Amino acid sequence: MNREKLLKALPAIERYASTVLAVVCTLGLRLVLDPVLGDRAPFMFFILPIWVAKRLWGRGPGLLATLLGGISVWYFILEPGFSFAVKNRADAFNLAGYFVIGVGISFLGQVTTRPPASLAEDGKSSKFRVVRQTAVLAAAVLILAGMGLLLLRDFRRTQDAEGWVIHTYQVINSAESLRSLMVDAEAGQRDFLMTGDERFLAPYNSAVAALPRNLDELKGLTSDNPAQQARWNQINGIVDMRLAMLERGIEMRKASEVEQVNAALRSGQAEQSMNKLRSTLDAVMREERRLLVGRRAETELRASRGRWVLGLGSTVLIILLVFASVVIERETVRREEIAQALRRHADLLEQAHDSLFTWPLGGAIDYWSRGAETLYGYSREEAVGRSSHEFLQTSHPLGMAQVDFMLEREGQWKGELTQSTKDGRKLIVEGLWKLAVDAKGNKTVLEANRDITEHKRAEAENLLLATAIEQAAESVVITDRDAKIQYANPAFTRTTGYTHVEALGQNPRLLKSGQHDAQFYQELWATLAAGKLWRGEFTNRRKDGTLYMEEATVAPVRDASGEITNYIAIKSDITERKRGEEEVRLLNVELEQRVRARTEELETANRELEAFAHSVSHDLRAPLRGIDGWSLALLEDCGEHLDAQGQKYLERVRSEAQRMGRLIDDLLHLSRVSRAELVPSTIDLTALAETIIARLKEAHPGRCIEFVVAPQLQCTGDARLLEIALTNLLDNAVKFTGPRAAARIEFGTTECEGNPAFFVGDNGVGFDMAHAGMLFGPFQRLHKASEFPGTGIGLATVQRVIHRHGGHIWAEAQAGAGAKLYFTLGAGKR
Amino acid sequence: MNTKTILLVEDDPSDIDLTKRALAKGHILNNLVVASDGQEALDYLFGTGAYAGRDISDFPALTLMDLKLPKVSGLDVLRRIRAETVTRRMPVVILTSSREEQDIAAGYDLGVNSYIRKPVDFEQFVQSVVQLGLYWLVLNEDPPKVK
Repeated sequence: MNREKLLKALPAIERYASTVLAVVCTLGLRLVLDPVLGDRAPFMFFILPIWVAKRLWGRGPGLLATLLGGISVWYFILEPGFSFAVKNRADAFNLAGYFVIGVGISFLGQVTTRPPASLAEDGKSSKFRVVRQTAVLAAAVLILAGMGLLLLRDFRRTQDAEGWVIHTYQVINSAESLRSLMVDAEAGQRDFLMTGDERFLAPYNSAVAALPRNLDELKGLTSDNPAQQARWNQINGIVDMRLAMLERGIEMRKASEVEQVNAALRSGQAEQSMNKLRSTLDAVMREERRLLVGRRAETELRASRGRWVLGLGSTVLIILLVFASVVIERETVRREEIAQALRRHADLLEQAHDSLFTWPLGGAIDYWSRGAETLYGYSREEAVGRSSHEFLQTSHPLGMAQVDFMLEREGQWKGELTQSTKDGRKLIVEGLWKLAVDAKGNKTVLEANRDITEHKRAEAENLLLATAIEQAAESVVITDRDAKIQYANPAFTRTTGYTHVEALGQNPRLLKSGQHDAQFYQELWATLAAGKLWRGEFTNRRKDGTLYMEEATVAPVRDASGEITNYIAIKSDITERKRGEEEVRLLNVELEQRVRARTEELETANRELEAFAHSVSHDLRAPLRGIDGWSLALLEDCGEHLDAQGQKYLERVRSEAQRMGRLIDDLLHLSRVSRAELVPSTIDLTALAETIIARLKEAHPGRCIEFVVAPQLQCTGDARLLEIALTNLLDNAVKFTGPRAAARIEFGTTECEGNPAFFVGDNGVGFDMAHAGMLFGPFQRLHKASEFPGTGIGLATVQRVIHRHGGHIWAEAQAGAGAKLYFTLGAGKR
Repeated sequence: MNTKTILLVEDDPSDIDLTKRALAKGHILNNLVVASDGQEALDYLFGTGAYAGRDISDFPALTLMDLKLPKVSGLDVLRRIRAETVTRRMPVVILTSSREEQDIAAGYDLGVNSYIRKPVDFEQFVQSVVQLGLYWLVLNEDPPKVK
């Protein structure tokens, strides 16, 4: 015990000195009380210093106290005092007993008790302890009372015996006094008889006066003893007779009858009577003395027995005392341990995460744990004294009355409740309530609530996730760290044919098809062991033996310490997809082949077209040039042989040849526009238009044309192609405004369906919109060649340029009221 | 001026005659050598084949060459001319019907001095040839001979 350790920590010298002091004090006390106690209970007091020394200072001081106390009693208290002699065996026995007890106390082991594992369990044994303690106490009281009664009786008897001793001496005294009185009476009468002097009658007279009283006294003293009464009767008779004879002698002397007196004296009757009286008195005294001896022996016996009783009683009492002290010590230790356990429990309660609080049934909260403070946000001061249900807005689907009813009926209640925190948050708690009933029948509710709000939410979430996994189209397989299947969803069964039950505990190699080599699996496991995701495709085998392909993602799951605990595989059956992909791939291959073939064809055609264009430009033009050249040569050299008609025809030949040359040129132009590679750049259309207009003005010096060009027209496109297009458009406008005295040609921009559109407008002859469809076809003309010359390729070329820029071209016109050609250029498109 | 030779490389007999007529009309009376294919032109220039032994240092003052030629094409002839030390400074004018861009580009890339497209209109053709002759034979300073 802590206390013991603390006290034993005193210096040894101090502990032993204290022991000696305690023994000396006890001895002093015992000596002071000696007149009262006599030789009774000589050792009782000395148990105390042993006990104290043992308890407070340890075993050594206990033994020292035993030794010193024993010696003290032995020397100072036991008869004979101030000597180590022992008068009787009882003392020796007591001394030995004392030493045994003293050593026993000193060696009394440390009282150890098993700490109660549970306070509730401890409560069960407490009844037994109470009974035991009461029994010990009752035994001690009974023994004390018995000892007291015995001692009281002995004391009374001893007192009686002493009364009898005195009685004996009184009887003897009375008998002696009787004899002496008789002697006095005899001597006084004889002296008178002899002298006749009446003065000698004084002793006789006083003796005669005292004798009856003396006789009465003796009679009273021996009234309890018939034998002595009989003797008294004899004595009384002798005394009466002698006194009568003495009186007669005196009267005779007085009457001077000396003869008769002498005769009486000589008769010796007096002598006989006295002897008889003496012997009878002696008998009385002898009898009394005999009785006295018997009574003395009885007193002695009683005293001895009293000592034994006292000694034995003391011993038993001491044993009881020791036992009681052990019990008390044990109880003290136990209480201390219970108190510690309670403190520990209290600390434990404070540490608990659960909210714990108590309230007397129907009353207000009287305990509020730290956990409750944390959970609800109310401090202890705020919570204590308030009514639990209202305070926390506790509610249960069936109503709180039902909960309270169940609690009272069953003694405890378990279930889920909703409660509110201080800041108004709703909580779902799992309550475990218990009704504690104390000895007085007071009922207290021990309310332990655990916050399961988060748990519930997580549970719902888990349910959601679990449902998602259950319903997923993909197979989901979860294994433990040893790759044993723990879970497989219905999709797994659908894919593989193995049921959930069949798959459990199996290794996923159950599905192995043998289509992958060992290295494939090694890489898979190496990736997972490194804590990484593995993605890939398996070819596996179904339960029915057919092969299928699946795309899998396998992920390791780690716990907080980073250890891999599970693997999760999510797999989708891609057999069909693979088949589809294979089909697509084959189609693609085929398509590619076809495209390649077609491209080759196109390239060939293109080459042929180029060759054609080349030959057109080169080979077709050469004969034309010949036709023209030789026609001219004919005119020049043989003109005189031809009449005007013939010369005119030759001129027609030449002009037709030249027209064909222009046609060829325009066709080549169109072909080049189609084939040329686009080189996009930012183009200032305004500047480009101005350049073209300058050229046109020069080409048509006689015309009066008003050109209106919008400023800062910009676009992105191929400069050369756009110049061709714009040239064609403006050239057309110039051509078709030919009949107008005041021609007006405008190049500008407008908005069309949110996009900028350029336009070239004129106030020329226009055209009927009914024919607008053929406007952009090659060799299509809306006007007679005689009115407006042209090859019909110009607008086709323009359209080709615009289309190649990803734009549109369209026209708005009215016959005789001018035309407007709009075009857009695809924004950034090629 | 008459001492300067004009080399005409042309396979079309009609064109040869028309060119001759145009030169005559333009009063360009220089010695005209006609090669009717690329090989013949090379033979003339480098003194091989039919022209073996010709002094090759005396190269024409002006070469008018069509592109589309039998045996060796005009561009190949031009390449040879520019590759050889003696002839690399020689003025060469391509006179052709083709206006194909790639032909024009290739001609200039190979170092042609001028590229003329033969117009269909003979009067224009005559004008072109006359101007060519006037320019290259009269106005233009001959390149120094490469030693």
